[in-house]
Amino acid sequence: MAETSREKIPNTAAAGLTDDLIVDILSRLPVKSLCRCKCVSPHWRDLISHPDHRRWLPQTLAGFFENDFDNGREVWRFTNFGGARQPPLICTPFSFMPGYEDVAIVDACNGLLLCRPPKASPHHVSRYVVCNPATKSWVVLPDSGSHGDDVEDDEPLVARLGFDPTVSAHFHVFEFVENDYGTVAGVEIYSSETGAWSYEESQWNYETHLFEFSPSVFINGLLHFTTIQFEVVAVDVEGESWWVLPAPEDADDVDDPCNWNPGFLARYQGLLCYMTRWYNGRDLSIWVLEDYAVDGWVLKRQVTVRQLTEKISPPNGCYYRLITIHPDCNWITYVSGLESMLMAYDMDRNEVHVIQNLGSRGVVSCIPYVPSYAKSLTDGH
Amino acid sequence: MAAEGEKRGAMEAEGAVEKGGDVAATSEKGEAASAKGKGVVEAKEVAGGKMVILRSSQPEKKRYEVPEAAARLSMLIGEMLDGDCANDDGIVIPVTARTLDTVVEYCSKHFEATKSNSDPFVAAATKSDPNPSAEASVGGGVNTAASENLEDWDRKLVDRLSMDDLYDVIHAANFLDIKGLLDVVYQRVADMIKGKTPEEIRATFNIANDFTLEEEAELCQQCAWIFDAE
Repeated sequence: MAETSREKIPNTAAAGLTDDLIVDILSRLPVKSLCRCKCVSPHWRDLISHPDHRRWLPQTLAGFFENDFDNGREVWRFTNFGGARQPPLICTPFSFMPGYEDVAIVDACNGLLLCRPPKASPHHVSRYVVCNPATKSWVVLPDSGSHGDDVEDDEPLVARLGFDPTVSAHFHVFEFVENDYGTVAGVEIYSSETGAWSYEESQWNYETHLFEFSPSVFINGLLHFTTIQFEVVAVDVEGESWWVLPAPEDADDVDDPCNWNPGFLARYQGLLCYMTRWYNGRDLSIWVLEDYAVDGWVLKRQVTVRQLTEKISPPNGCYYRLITIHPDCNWITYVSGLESMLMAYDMDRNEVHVIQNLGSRGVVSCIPYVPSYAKSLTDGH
Repeated sequence: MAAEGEKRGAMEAEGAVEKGGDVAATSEKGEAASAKGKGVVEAKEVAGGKMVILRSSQPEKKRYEVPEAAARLSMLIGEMLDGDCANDDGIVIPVTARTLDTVVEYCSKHFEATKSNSDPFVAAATKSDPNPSAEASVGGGVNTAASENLEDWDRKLVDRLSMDDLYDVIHAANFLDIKGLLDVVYQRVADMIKGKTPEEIRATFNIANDFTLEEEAELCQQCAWIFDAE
């Protein structure tokens, strides 16, 4: 039997690899290699998409939740990254959450969504629901108490989700309590492990004003935000560790401070990423944070003004809005023009792809979504 | 008589597998137990425990003498030892000698490694190692530098295997339930997949391309971005 291994005969032993063996091997691959494996054979494709196996396999950007206003009512939809060729991965409204089908999505983090009841609901400002639309599990959070007495205050506070399944099956919700001027006074942090909120006073600079129109990023156990003070701030899940980093952009580099907006945060190749917003005559710079020391930002890519105007910015030179950078490859997604086309720009090939026409009614939010199939919400209904 | 004894040993080994290590596998258990008793008396006492005898499958029936603790890295062998499923001829493992060479090499090396970790003199010497990674290690007493070398050794062990040998080791490690070795061989296969195109992956594993043209086009469109260089 030993002799046959040296002969050049077709390898029949591979056929003996059971499905469980194959899935175990595939689970050790980086996500890009795993996606290539989908194209190897129908059997491998089906193994990778099978509901029983997905929880072991790394996931990548599946698409976006975006909202729309229909007769004054806010409606949320899901768009696949691959566009409309396949039915949407996630069905909306969320029929698996009776009583909360029409929630507004506030944030997404590694497969979980942070939601609020819709604007019309009396609980819009004070209640949070965290759900996993892929596993259809969900939990309603207890009231944080931040909105106790002030019934006229109908503006929701800035809230974000922190969840890292590689570290813990538990999630955290951060609700930032403001001073009168909109600066951060402190944070209410909900832990799904304790089932309770706890308040911690801010240790950032007293004038820290979060730029809520940029996505926050939860990575390395810290929730990161950009501020209007050219900083990136971060806080940990206990509210004990508060970081302030200079943004890679410098105030001196900005020609027109009145028209400047803080950069976009994203997760890119496993690191915290900062993308400068486009404005007249400036390249789009993409930085990653390699360590939390003062000089920790490293410039990774630049999309030149020429590439922006030729490829990304529509011919009439008006409006485009960055959504995010793809976490696992060199593509930037953005919404273009008054027609609200969701687009992707391939930085390596300098090519533009249309993902979907979102309709011209005006999209306000576009939240990237990476699914998680692990059973994480232990309190799920 | 000897041949019958051998056959019984082999049957018991297989019987144990089928019944998940059920001790009451055969009615010959009594005879086997006494036969094993003979084997135990003959076994040498070595620092770290008794030696056990393993044999590869027919026709070579190559004989391996390994410390019991090393053999017990295989959950299956552990169950068989506990269940008195050996005779004086050793436990017959239904894999080739070529494959069992690798398995025994792995178990022996990892047994040696745990031995040196628990040796107080070796542990003390390695603790004063100026290597920062050793100081940073959390698992008190375990030398990170030494465990990194073990990882390199593991990688080298499987790197030199041909595809066919690799498959045989996968099946053997699975059958014998040796978790550490499974991790090493699975990672080796994963490393062979990384960076390859679907066509190259098919060639490596001799997989037929059963996609229809439409399915293939559909997938390529969906996954356009995956064909960037890694």
